[in-house]
Amino acid sequence: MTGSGGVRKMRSAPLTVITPVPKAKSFPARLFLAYMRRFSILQEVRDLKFIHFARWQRITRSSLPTFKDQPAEEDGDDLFVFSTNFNGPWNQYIDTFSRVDQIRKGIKWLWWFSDRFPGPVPIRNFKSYINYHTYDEQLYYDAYPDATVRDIAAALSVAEGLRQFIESRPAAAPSEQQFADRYLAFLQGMANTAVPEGSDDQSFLTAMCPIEPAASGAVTRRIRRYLEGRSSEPDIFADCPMVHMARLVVVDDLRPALGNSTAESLSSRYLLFIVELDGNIDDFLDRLYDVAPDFVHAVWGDCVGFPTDRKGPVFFRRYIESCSFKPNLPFAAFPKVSVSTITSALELRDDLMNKVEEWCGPPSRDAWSDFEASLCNQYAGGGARGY
Amino acid sequence: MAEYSLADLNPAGMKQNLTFLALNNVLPRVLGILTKVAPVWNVPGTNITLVTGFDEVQEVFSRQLDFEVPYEEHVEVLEWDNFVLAMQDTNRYHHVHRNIMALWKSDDVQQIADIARETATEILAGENGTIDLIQELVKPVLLAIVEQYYGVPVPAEKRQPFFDGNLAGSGFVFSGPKISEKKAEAARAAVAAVWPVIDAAMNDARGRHAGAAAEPGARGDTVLDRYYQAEIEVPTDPTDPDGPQSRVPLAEHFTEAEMRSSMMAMIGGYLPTDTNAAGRIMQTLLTDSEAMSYLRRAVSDGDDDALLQGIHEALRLNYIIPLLWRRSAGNQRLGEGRLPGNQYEIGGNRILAISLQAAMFDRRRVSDPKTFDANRPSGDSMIYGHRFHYCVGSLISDTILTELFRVVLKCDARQPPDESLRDIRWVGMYPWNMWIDYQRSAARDLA
Ligand code: HEM
Repeated sequence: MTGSGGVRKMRSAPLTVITPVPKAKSFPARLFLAYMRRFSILQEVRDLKFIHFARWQRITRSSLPTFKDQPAEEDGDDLFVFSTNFNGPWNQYIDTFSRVDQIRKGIKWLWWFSDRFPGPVPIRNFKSYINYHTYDEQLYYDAYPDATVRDIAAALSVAEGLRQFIESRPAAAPSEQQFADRYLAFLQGMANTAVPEGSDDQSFLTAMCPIEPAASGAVTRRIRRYLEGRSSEPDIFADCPMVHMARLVVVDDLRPALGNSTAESLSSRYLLFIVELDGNIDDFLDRLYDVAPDFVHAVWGDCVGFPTDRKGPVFFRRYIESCSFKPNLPFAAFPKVSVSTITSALELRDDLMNKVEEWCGPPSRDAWSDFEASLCNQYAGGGARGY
Repeated sequence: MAEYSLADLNPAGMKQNLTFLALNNVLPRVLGILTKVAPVWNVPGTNITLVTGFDEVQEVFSRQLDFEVPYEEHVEVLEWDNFVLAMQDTNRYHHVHRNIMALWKSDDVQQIADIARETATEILAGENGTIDLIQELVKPVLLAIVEQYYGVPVPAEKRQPFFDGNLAGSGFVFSGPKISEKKAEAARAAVAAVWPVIDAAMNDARGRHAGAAAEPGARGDTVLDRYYQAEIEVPTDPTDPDGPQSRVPLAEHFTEAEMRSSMMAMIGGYLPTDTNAAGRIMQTLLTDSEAMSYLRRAVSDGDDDALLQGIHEALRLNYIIPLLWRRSAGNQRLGEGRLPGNQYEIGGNRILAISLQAAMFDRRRVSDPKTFDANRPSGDSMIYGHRFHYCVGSLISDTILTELFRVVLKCDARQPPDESLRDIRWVGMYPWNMWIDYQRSAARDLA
């Protein structure tokens, strides 16, 4: 997909950071996240306009799922998971974290609880800390990979401006000149149209499923190979129209902070499953099972605790539920705006911009009416009135 | 001998009222409470386990080898070999299922829709603006499909007993695995009004069968014609499935006995459910203005998807089958995939009474379950069952109900102004007489 003007955009990339949190700081970390969720709307992050979704999650070892035949987790550092995605170079992204004043303060507090966190400055140390604790995603899906947050904001404004333009059509047919004036005013005003607030609920799934005891590795290797073999065709999630973003990350162990030689390893290897989606999680899991039962069984079927030889979405739902964590601090650039609203706004904006370029000035009323009818048919299921 | 009549066997009165109250009011309430407090409940002192939780119901239906269908005695009483719903997960089941799907094929929906629409408009145009929805509209529309699409003519004098016999036969299967001699006797009498009609149609079709292929989609292309005319390819040497193939008549591969049973399954699984569903959907529309205006809007917008979603939602709210049945094959544990502690033990050979109705009202899964919301996720609804034994007639049913309600709502169906016509008369669990008013002129325009 290309944006307006045909410029190829930087595809979005994921970032998953898991840091160890010493026991003594674990509960304060949880309290801090709860505080942030309650009292901050993460306005600074929102103002940056480059993060679609982000999530900070503290996971205690004792809350990691323990099924029969699985070694219990020993006492040790808890986990602090940060997941996000960005369009553009990684360096620039991390730089922003430590260069923007407000963000820097936030970051300082968010990771303050993590073991041996060097702070956001000096930036070199911060980068190597993040780099060291970054885990590779074996599979990543983004429903609108080429669109930056700014693109989406612009597209939603355009869609809203267009809606208002169509709806405010005068009762009496305007002359060609009057129409041309309205059209120009519409184009000029479009940039200032506020991004409408959506009304669709979003959910944030974080699940850590035990793959196998840490002493073994065969299942983990198989899952990793299987997922990496599919990473170039994450079409499965595209068949789940409610998914904004999804990622699967194999966590072999919790990497101890550099210099900590006494850290306790995890007793099992885990598969981290993070999804940002519209509606509720059960519907998504049903849908995923429906479109790709083989994928579900290949990925989770051999994990510890997954009911052996059982087929059906109910087992998958339950299993994921047993391994899930309530979101601590989720962030969405466009909370309550659904995938379909975003993707159709992006397409609509491209269609409109292409037409505007093609017309190179106000179109005739008839040309506009035809275009309006085609837009309404495509994006609104009909309803154009024309001129 | 008097013709079989379900209404005569279940006369209105105290007994009928009590049965209706128990099944339609008391049972759903009790099951609703159980869903909350004990989604799997081994009823003390009995061999019965009630399953009412959404997840738990799905689990039972997903584990067909552990939870078998318990209808062996029913099929014996009804002389009904090879009834798909009574078969376990065996090769034989898949053979019958595959052939049913091939004979009642999904491409036929247009033919079914045409019959349903034409019959419904013709009836409404011919009546005077007030009609008994069940007896005067739904029944003839459903029977028209049995005749014109299935290829089973039902002689005029046999229509009522044939229809009633099907309803009673289905009621017998779904009434549970405990069969008294009295119940068996009544069921035999019921299907005695059905088998001869099916047998006569099969004899007739066999006789007519001249080898010429029917034109696909043509009215003469009935399921029975197709059965007798079709040929399939099978390995010439059965021990070498990959070797040379030869063409043989379908009837050699899918026997007449199997076809006869399947015909009964597809009629007995159809007339009672669609009659019941049409009545209950209409009942919902007449009592829930939100539902009615949603469906009316869908019809006036020509939005068939919305119309069907609305129909499904109305049926979820007022569901037709109180309980479905399974039997545990050996000791079982329900709740697999959950952490230990959230599981239920079920002893061997217990009868599971499963309530889809209660499950579809389970708040753990379905939000605001008692409110009409046609846009709720489709996964919240299990009206046609779940996984193994999932309804093979869902497409047929969707097609007929969509056509029927499109026509009825285009004709502005509403409650009759005459208060005395507003009460629905029930026979057992079936809505039997249900009067509606409509605009005859609209029906004439449609016709
Ligand atoms: C609104 C109408 C209908 C509803 C609500 C309905 C519901 C159901 C349900 C819940 C089941 C699963 C039973 C179980 O698992 O124990 C089922 C199975 C079945 N239905 Fe339907 N049904 C409807 C219409 C039809 C129609 C129109 C036909 C035939 C044309 C049909 C034929 C069957 C058959 C043969 C089975 C057994 C399938 C198997 O064993 O694999 N049903 N139906």
